[in-house]
Amino acid sequence: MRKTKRAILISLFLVIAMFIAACSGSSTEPDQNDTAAEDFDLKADEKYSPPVEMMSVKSVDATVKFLGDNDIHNNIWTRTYADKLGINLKYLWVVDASQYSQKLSATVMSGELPDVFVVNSLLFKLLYDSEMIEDLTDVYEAYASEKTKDVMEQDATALPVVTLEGRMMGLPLTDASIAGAPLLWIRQDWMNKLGMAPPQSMQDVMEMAARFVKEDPDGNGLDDTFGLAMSKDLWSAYGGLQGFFNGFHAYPRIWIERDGSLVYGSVQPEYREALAALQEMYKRGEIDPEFGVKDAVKLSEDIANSRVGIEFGVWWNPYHPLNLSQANYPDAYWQAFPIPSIDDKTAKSQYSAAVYSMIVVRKGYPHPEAVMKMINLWTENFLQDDTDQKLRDAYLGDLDNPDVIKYKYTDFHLWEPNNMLTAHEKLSRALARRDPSGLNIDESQRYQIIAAYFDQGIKEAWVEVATNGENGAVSILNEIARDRGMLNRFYGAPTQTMSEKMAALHTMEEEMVIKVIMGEPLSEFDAFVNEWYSLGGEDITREVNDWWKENRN
Amino acid sequence: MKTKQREKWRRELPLYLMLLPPVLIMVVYAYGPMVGNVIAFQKFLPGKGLFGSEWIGLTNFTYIFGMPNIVSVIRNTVFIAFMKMIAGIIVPVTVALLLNEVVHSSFKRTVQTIIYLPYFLSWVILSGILITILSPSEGIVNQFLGYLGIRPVFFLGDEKIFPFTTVITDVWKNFGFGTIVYLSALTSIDPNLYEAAVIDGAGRWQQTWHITLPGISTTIILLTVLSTGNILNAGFEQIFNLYSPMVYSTGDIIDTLVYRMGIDNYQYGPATAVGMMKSLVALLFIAASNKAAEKAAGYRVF
Repeated sequence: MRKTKRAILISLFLVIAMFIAACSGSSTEPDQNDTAAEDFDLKADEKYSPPVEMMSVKSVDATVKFLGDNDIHNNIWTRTYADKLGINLKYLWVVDASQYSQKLSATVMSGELPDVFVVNSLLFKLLYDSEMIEDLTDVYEAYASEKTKDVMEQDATALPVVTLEGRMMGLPLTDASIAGAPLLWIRQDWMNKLGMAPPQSMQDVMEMAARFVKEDPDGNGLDDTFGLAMSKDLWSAYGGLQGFFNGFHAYPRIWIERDGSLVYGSVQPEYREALAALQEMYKRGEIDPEFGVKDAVKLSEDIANSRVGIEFGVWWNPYHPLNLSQANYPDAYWQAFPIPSIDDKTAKSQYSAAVYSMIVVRKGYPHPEAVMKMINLWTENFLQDDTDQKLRDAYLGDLDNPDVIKYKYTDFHLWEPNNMLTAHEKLSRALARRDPSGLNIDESQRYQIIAAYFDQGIKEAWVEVATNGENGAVSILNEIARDRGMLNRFYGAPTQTMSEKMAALHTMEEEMVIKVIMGEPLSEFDAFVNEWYSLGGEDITREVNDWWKENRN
Repeated sequence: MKTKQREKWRRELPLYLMLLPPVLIMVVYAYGPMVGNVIAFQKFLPGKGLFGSEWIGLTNFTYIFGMPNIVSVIRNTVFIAFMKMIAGIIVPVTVALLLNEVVHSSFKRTVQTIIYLPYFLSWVILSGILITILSPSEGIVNQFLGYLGIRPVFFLGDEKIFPFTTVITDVWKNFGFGTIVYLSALTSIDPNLYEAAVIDGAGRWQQTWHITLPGISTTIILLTVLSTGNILNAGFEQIFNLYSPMVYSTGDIIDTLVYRMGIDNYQYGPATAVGMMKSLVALLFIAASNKAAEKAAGYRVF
């Protein structure tokens, strides 16, 4: 009963905290950062005169907060688009990120499209087939600035994703592909407490999980810890299983090259080995018996409550949810490690082309180039090394209000694929010689935070140390980019059979994985492989290989 | 003759006007969307519209029957819906009969209010509560079972138990409403009948059996007939909020499948085909049970 009471107390506390946060977000206090767009000297393309209207739709998540009386319809970005470019950006609707794709699906169905909007690749294909979106090939050639072109072409997989039958039908929202590669996160403080060394192999990981369960690493005297963080979202960015599978040389849900053609990772024999290992762990009580109904939120509660010490996830996990451990237990420290291997072959972290979503323009919208101007405004001003501090504070977010992330007010932002790794190299060199000169603003901010951790003992700063520090997660991404990575070889638009059947096949896979982990015989996996091929997998494999013949280089 | 006709019109006109809004609502929200059923026979592309998309005959139907999980989905739907129907009659009738025997009216009203409360909560909220209280490790229900020496039951994660969990929680949410309907039906029974029965020497059970139940049988039949139309409605809102991949094999129902196909994966054609078949089956059922009700009790809804 005590536990239930505590759970109620905690949830009550969360409600109050959310309430306070909500109130402070909409406080009427005058805000110094709420400056008009004219105050800044931005590089911008030619302004429309008279102004043009642009209707869009927007998803917002819990991290989108505003200062003063700004809101999603009226903020520094909307004002800048109006003042500098003469584009009046309006939203048909604004919904929570979790409902965006459903709401958009209904909007598309109604036939009343917004002028400019962000879609996923499945909807992208449908809109193309429906002839509902504008061909942007010429717009890109004529209007994309040099920097924009550089960003969109840095990663060779970005443009193919938005190119259908030779025409560019959307603009890729680029990011670093490598950012999606899984890493192994371990509670360093627990590991030290039990006198263990960093795992050299998957066997070590499993042994560590067993000891984390049995030896009460958090020292609260309760038998309340699990070995491995997992939730029902099997392939989530945190608590996902890709990393575990990669340790067994299995590559769930990506296409890998084998004997001269592309094969699907989820139906290869290595997958079975990884499943068997997970099943064993479950049997020994090292996996939360409720993982199958836990969603990401519940899993982050476990992490916050120090109930788990091993997690497979991506490089930014310390920002969320791993920061929650440290917030509750000041000495908690998560350290990233490369994925270890089950045998003497080096394990490779899997990752896919980073373009999951693209910007499209409704067919018939009179100003398709307007979106290009908005993207140029972003790349020319905010993806440059010499962006000044005032500009960054006003448009991206400032350290005084760390939870107000202003670039999220606009969908027209994208990231430079190569930037993360080069920036980390610069930062590491600076940290080694204890000299921040030569760093740009972004890097020197990180430098200061990391220095604060070591010099002033500010423990909250571990987040930056664990990600961008010398031995942080990004340094491992560097290794992955060199020779420890496994890139998804398929990065085209979904093929015909893929759009029709992949969802059902994914569901089948998920069901099978959860059941086998929870104790059903491994023959379920063999049955799944057979069914996968007969229920569409064979056609998909053929289509993917047809695509590959045309696009391999 | 003519004046009589006009007189009649003047008298009835307000009634027709009052009927107009519901008829309009039915046309707009129930009959209008039926046109959309043509999507079931198309390779529907939103840009081409309802009549511009390519007609592909029954391809969508062959597609859905080729889907790996379609049989279990239909089976789950019928099973869960049928159980809900049966429990949805038995529980409220029993509770109404019991409450009817309660003498203290304040107690009776308190109980009525309490059991009616969950009816007003949406499944989104209730499912959050249920997931917490049914948790095998921390949930209050399993802690209670633990005191009785029963091993924790995974109500929402065990595929054998999940369908029953949905039925029981659904009854818990809705039986308050049914109880009130039956209680009001009970008040319409002529008290003289009970007095006469007592004089004839009938006991409590005999009164219930021969007076109370026949007295509300029309209401029971009416509600049953209306609910058979729901034989393929296993409760989207509830299941969508409670299920997980762990229980797809017994918990995935037609509506959740249609939702995932149509809204998440843009397979508008197949999703419409499934929805349309569902409506046809429901129509058959409701017509059949209407006939059955007429035969059995001499009562028909339409």
